[in-house]
Amino acid sequence: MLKIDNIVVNYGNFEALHGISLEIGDGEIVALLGGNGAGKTTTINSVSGMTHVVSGDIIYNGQSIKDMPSFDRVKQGIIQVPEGRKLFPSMTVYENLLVGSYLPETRKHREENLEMCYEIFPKLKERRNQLAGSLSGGEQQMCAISRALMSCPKLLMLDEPSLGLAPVVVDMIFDTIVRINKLGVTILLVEQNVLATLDIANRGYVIEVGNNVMNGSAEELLNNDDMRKAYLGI
Amino acid sequence: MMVLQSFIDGLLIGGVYATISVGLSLAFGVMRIINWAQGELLMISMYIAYAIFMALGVDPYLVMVLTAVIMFGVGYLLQNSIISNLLARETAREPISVLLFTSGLGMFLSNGVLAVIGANPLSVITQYSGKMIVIGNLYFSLPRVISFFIAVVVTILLYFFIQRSEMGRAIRATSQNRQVATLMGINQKKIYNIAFAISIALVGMSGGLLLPYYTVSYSIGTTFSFKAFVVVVLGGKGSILGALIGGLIVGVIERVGALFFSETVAQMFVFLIFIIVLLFKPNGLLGEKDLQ
Repeated sequence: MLKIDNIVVNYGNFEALHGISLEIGDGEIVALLGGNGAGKTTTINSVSGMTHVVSGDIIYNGQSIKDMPSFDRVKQGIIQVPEGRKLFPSMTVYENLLVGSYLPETRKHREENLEMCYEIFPKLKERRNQLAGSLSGGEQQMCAISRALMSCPKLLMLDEPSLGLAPVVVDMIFDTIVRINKLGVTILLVEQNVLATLDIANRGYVIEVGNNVMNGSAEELLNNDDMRKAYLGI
Repeated sequence: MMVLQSFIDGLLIGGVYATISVGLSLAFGVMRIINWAQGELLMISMYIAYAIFMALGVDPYLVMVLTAVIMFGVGYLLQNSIISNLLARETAREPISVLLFTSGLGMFLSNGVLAVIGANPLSVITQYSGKMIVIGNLYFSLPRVISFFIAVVVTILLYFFIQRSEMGRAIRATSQNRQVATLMGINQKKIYNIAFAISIALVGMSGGLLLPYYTVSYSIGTTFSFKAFVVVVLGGKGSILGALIGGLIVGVIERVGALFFSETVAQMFVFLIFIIVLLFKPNGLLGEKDLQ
């Protein structure tokens, strides 16, 4: 479905990605792991079109999207849930979800998607007329994921959805990600929470300071000694 | 009685201050652009309205609609061809280069008009000029009453457009976080084009509203720019209803003040209130952080 081929990204004179490659098949959950500053967010921002890719290519369903404007990538079903939720704070939950289905193609499915989101997260239905800025961290994450679901994602990229959330909420969010995946949505999950992530992912990629260092099935990564030392401390 | 008369006169002119300021507030709320040329664009709108009225001789409120449409196009082109390019090079959230551009544009427009048309003030006599509405002992000039109602209705319509429509929500989303709005499939440049075009169309409309009772000359721009800034800060930056209330307040202070003191002293009161609001309520009367 998605192939990232040796991409290089610069921030000013600083090269953030030195050639990252990654492949995601239809219907997979793929994890992108690594510490702070490894380039995980930069990688998915490149897929969303928020950063300029200097060299390399990004192929989506057989077509290069490297030079496609970011809002057109959304039309293709490439949806990102940004790090730190980034809701529109002065809008209600309901309005946030409506903005998620701004595009005419997704507007047609607005009612059914809205029902689906309220069914997955009943809390959001209760809070639908509340300002998004006043929600708790977990509720904000639910709202951010729902807003992405309103955009009819084919490839859903989640940037550290567990960040700053209580463990019980993290479990709930990860269960939901599996559920969304079962609906036929391909998932790219960016995380620092290695154990929880590899628990639900099919495969994973590990990157460090802008380079690929490891990849394999979730099981292989979990049993890898370097991996266990570096990220699990065992 | 005199005070009541002045109070209502103030409200009537305040309506037009509001529409000029709403445009300014919208552009600031969405794009973080401070448009120093707002007053000069108003002056240009009045010349355009004047030219249309002289050429076609149609009803001045039809002229107003035409002027608003023309200025919508002017705003769209300005943003699409010049401002967007300046913004693309800016990394700061509040772009300085656009500020410099608009202040330069203001000077260019006023001096351009001075060079081409000259310094003679122009005014028109329409079928509404000099007509009065009399209620008891109070006299109201008809074109001012009409302009007040049009201004208030348009401002409220704009408020509902921004709050309720699909495009309005996209405009608000962009004003709250433009990167994330892009992740929702919103074309930021298109939103900016439309927001700025609406902002300038409101100026065009205001020019049309002023034409039947206000004399236009090349130099009126700065007066209106300053008033619009006071109104925007008073009402709250980015707040549409705030700009409406701010406009009415400034109009009333001016008129009622002029009753007891001279017009110039009344202007001082406007700025005095401005400073007091800045000191005690820096976000303005209805101001929050985001466009509303």
